[in-house]
Amino acid sequence: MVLGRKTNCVLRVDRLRKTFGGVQALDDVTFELAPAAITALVGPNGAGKTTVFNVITNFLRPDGGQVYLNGANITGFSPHAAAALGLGRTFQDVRIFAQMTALENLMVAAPRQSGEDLFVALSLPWRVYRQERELRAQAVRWLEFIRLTELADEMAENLSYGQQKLLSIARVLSLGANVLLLDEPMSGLDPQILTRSVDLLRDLSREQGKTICLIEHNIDIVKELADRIVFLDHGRVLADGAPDAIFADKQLSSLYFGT
Amino acid sequence: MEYGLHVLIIIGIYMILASSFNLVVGCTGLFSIAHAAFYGIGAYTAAILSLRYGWSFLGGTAAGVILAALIGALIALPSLRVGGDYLVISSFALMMLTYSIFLNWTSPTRGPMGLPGIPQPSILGWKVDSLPEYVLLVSIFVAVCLILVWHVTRSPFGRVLRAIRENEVAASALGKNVVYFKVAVVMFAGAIAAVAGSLYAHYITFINPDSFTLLESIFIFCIVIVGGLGNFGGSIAAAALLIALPEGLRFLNVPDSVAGPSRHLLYGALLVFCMRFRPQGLFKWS
Repeated sequence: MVLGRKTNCVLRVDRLRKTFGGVQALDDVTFELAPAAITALVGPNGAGKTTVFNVITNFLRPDGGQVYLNGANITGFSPHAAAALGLGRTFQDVRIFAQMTALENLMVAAPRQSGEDLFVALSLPWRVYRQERELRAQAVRWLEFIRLTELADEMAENLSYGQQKLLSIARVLSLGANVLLLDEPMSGLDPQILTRSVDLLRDLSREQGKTICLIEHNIDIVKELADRIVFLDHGRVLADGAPDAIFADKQLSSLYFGT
Repeated sequence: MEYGLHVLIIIGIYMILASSFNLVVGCTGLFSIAHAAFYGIGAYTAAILSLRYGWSFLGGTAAGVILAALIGALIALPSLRVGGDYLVISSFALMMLTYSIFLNWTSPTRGPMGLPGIPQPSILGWKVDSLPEYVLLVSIFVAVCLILVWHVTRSPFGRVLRAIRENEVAASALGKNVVYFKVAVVMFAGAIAAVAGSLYAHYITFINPDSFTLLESIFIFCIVIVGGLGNFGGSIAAAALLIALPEGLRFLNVPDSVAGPSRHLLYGALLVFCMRFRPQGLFKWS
């Protein structure tokens, strides 16, 4: 944390390279996430945005390059170890735990549950029970935060797509993550949930100091939310800077927006 | 009367087997076909220790439990590190391996002749030598095992198992060490199955390799499917149903040559019925 503040970044990816067969998915990708800021990762389909997320969270091993979280090199960690350090992510295809209730989706995500140890679960049920009550209360608070309290005991598969997306964000919050990598959290949402999500993300970064990196195609949302934009194309960082500067760049506009 | 008590005991043993197997296949979504191997390990360990070394019932049961858990770890660890599907292969291998050992390592197991004369259990001076007493003993063990399994299902550990079944990638993205949970559940379920094995060996007082074949694993699988994957109460009810139903055939005056095969016919029909009309299992209440 100290180191993170000194370099003024929470997460740094350094010259990441990754090839799939003959495709250069990532080509010397370098960028930083500033604390409590919202960084938007934009670029056309196939630019390597999700691959960056997969490499950062260690679901994919890079062919080269490093990932630093709060100054510590986390390259080559297992995904669950990276998550335990406060690195949370959502998925483009939501990946909700369909046959579990909304509340259970949040409770299961909470870190450091002693009852996850089989021996503790069997031998110290009272301790686990006490902890469960706290977990439940915390999960209810996250449900209130995304305003889905009334759906607490509903199976997640019965929630609408937009509600599932909200739930998947809350799940990462329940994990206690400080760095949130959100893969298209706004796509396919109706206007009402969209507005709610925008407010929610702003709240998370401004009020709660979460560092957010989101992949987003909707330019209006990017303009509204992002403090910084990293523009990716063919696995390369084409531009990295303040939104105004990026949108003013005619070359990028034509590349992405076709105008 | 005696016959009814015998059926009750067998039902109890299968309740233990089905509910523990349900943890692996239903709750976690792991496809294993080795549950009868753990059952057999429990039975043979208890039988050999009591016959050759004079171990008590409880000591032999505990030894079987520990051995089954260790062997569970041994097959689960390498296969689950690669990916869940490999467990089918390694559990099949374990099934074949244990069967061959029971059959061919004749000095302790007497091979196909089996082990006769396994002493009836005695616990802290209580000699269990009548049928009603054995029903009581099995009931106590069934209760303990079911409470343990139920408790694990409802615990945070069990919740992670269900999350893994629903989406393994999301579970690991949420900081869960998926391999730990999978290995632990295979070990735990194997250990519980070993308890059933010891109860069986000491009850029948004779075991041979034929009781612990792949077919037996598949039968336990059937119980779990009929009860509904992941349904704790369903596994228990289905164990009672699938054991009691064919026993009912005995009262229909069917000749034995028909009753035997019709048992399998019945199971087959019930399975097809479940697949078509009740894929969630016959009993959906938990």
